[in-house]
Amino acid sequence: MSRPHPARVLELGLVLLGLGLHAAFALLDARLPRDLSLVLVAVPDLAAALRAGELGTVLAAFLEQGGWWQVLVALASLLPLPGGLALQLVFGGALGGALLAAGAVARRLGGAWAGPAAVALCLGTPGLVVQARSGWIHVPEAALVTGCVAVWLADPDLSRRRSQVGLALLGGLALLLRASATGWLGLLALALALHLGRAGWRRLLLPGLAWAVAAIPVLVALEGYLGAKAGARAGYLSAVPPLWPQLLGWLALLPLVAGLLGTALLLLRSPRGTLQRPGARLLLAWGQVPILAYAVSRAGVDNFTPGAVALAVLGGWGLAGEDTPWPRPRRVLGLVTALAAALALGLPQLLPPVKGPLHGVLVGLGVPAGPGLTNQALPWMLWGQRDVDALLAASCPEPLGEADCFVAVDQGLYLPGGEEPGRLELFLADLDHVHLVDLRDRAAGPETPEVHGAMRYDCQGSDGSFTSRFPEARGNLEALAAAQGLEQVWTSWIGGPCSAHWLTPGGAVLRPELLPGSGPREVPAGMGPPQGAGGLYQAPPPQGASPQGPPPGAGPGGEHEGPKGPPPPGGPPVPTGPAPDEGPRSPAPPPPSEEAP
Amino acid sequence: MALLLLAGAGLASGAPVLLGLVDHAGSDPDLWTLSALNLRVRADPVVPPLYPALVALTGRPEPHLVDHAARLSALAAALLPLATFALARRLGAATPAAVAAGLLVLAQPVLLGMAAQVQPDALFALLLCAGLLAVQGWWVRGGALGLAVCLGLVALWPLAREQGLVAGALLGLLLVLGPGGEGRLGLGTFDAAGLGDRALRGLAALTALVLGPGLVGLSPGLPWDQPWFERLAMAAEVFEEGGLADRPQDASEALTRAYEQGDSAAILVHHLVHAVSGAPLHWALVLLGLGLALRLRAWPALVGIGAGLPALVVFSEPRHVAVVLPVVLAVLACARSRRLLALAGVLALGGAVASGEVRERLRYQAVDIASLRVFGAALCEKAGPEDLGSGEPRAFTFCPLPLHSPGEEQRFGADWRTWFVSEEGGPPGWGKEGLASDRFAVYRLQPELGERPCSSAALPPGLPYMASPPGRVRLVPPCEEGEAGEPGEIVPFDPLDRPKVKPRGRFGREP
Repeated sequence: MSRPHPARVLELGLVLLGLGLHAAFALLDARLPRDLSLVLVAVPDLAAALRAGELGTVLAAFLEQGGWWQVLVALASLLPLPGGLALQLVFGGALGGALLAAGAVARRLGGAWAGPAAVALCLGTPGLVVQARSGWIHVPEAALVTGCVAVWLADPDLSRRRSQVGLALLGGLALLLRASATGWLGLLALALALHLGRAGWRRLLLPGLAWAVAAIPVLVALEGYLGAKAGARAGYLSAVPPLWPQLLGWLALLPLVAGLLGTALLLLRSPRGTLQRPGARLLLAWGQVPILAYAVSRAGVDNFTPGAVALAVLGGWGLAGEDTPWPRPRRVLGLVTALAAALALGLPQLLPPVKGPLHGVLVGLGVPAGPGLTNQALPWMLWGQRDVDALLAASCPEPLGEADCFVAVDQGLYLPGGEEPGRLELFLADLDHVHLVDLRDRAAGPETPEVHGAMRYDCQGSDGSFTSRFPEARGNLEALAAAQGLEQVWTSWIGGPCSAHWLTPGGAVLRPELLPGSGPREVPAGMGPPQGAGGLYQAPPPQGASPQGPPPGAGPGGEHEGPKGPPPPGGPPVPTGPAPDEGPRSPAPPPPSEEAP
Repeated sequence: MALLLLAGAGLASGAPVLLGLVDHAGSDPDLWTLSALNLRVRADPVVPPLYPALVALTGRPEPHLVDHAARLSALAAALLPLATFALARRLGAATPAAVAAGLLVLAQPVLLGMAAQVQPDALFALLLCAGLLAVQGWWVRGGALGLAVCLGLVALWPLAREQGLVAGALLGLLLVLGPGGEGRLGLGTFDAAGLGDRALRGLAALTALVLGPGLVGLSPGLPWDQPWFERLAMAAEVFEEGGLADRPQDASEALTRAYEQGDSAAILVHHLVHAVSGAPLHWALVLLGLGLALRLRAWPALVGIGAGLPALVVFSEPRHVAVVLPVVLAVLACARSRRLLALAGVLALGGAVASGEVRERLRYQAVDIASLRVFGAALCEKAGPEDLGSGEPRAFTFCPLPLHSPGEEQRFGADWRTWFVSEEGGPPGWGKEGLASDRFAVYRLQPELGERPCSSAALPPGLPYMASPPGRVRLVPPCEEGEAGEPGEIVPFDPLDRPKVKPRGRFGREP
């Protein structure tokens, strides 16, 4: 048995490193995964159908866009894993697929050492690694379409049946996953057609047929999809940040520079040799798609993840490719640069938060320098499932876990600024008896049930994009609070400028001993509230919370009523400015919604 | 080459004297120089930003920006003869013909005038001519570096002038159709590899067009998302039915009827006739150059000449077509026919001689700028660095102040430090300031008691010096003491709320 090439070992090691960091994040992070783009809406129903053995429901899902992905997530949710771990397993699989595909493509194009360089650049790309932790739908899309290229480059003439089947399968799944795959695969189809020529059309028959069938749901919904995109453009124009900061957050500085440098080296030193490789023109085109698609649609560049993978592959090939005409030391330097990019994103997860001037430098480089509520690059342990579940357990009626419990939300239940109010998280937390009263865009009416609790988040104006989309949300909750006599019973700083406020009817709590924060929480260095709360942060104790009602002097719940209890030592519970140690927010905030812009 | 450089430098630096100008010329010195200040404070420019960005780079204090802008124009114009010669040679012209083309460039008063104008025309003409050198090089030899330069031009040309969008689009098309080094005359092969390359070059051209604004520090995006695109949109209004409200007073009966009936075709024909009659010799040269470029299959040169064609329908001044004359002369220098050469020479010399209207226009502009200079100096003696301007933005060309739109129904803190300048009346309730000017009247709010309200508040950063329309400035910290007052009827003055495109080609804003 021959020894594997060291480059191959390094490449696989890097893939495992990426998956390991993903797993570590999933285990440590207190937050539950969210449904960022409303692509997991049917998961609870599908999981129920799977449990009940209703295969018809499950099979019907495959005919809808994104349906198979939801079935996969629902299947994973049946695994005996707590909270969001099952979902993170699927998300991690998508990340692993993207890394493996990127390595394979780079290896085919630039030789053994291009593979690890490309994987390292991918690992340094927040738009891939960090977004995967959020279940960003474009990560599996990137894995699938890059996988198509890997299959093609393994057999450029598609002479083997299994290559055709592989292309058909991966491309079909990508098209069934997301309408945006048509763009990526359209370019791939063009590249394949030009490469194979007229003589090779028979070899394109199977993939072409599969892709055409898979594209039917896309084509049926195309008019609506494009109409929604066109309609959303004006909103994106004002809400989405300019291109440069987006690119910096999405790719981080090192992978961006390394990708561009590698591409430039490839083209300037050996343009003919580069372009004649199958797939090279395609990757160069893919690398430009995010810029053009951003310009046309004005949606965030993080909607175009395969472009980031293409840039990483080109960068890895250009910096460390073996057949490029520059000497070995330069190639070694290229590989080291790529590894540095990977470490820049991964190391902060293993090291304590950075403080002082270095913090600013790292943030400038797009490196996560400290954890934060909205930062998915590093685990956030101070607010999450445990706390919300405790609030529900303290307030929901008997028998606990069985009787219906109604909870009103103005942003989301588990986290502020939700695209979806928290139904997925409730499903993941196995709280089927809790029902959300979503007040984000509709006021409570006569049909609104009496709620047992209400979650109000206050982010001191930093949630501007949410409040501009749902301007009535806060008012709706306040109206409900007035109508049903809800009063604030518990509040806590949860990260950044945000605080959570829990309101219950009359400020009463059925089981006050279950409220979170009854004991001091140890806050790791660099994760404390912004106004110098010190090493220990104690959430407001629930002295005022009692089944009998609010303490004397407590008015109706409201923003300025303050917590029922003393403020945390060292600073008020609701900060007024961003936490100095909060790392960069998740790279390039995802667009408000792809489905309902 | 030294001769051409010397001639260029001499003519460009002596242009004001040769043309008898009392100051710099240019119809919109405020738009270009105040946009430069906008770029300095990271506010949006209202005109294509390359020229303002280069002006802003100087770091000169504000009153001298106009002079520096004119110097930039002179420098560009000085290099035009050399660039024309080089382009002619690259296109295949004999040396004597190329030298003649170079010398004839600045013999055109309209081109010579560009050397004295606070306008980007000279810069654009130079970029067009010099850029085509690179395009022609890529067309013949190919190469990644040549392609990169071409892509850079696709990004750069639209930033220099609105016509640059046409040139950039044509160059993008050329990059798709072009052989990329496979031949001098033909379009190359259209096999699979060639098609892949062409598609990739087309994508790259689009990417360059989108990324272009990043070169001057603006946010990348499509041209119509750029803040200066409104000017082009305004030009397009010329075509809109009913958009030609300013029917020429001397319109013929037929034209009057066309306007009344909204007959777009007839109006368009009128515009074509008007454009051609406004600069007949220039158009004749363009026509000759176009024909010769087609005959020689000098495709890159067509890109340059094509940039002048929008002036056929959106014409107000001969300079709009003259910016392509260096390219045209370079092409004509390649003519093998002596008759054609002679004809081109006669036309070019004719353009040099028959230029009374151009000279008259330049002199008007120079007198205008001289009066603005005098007024600006007087205003700046009184206005402080924390003051604001309002009214006629042109008045602030030599004394730039951030613009503020005073309140219509309520007074705001910023109103108390605003200098409202107008050629007509002032806002109700504002008092006339004693500032000597035979042109502008200056108005200010008169405080009843001693010190002006809100004097301790500061201006927020990033206020634009030119905006359309100007916004209302909020002082920092918000100033309450000056908020009260009598309501006044003030219509915010929009500097762009007037046609920059003058279908009749009348002088824009003569003093």
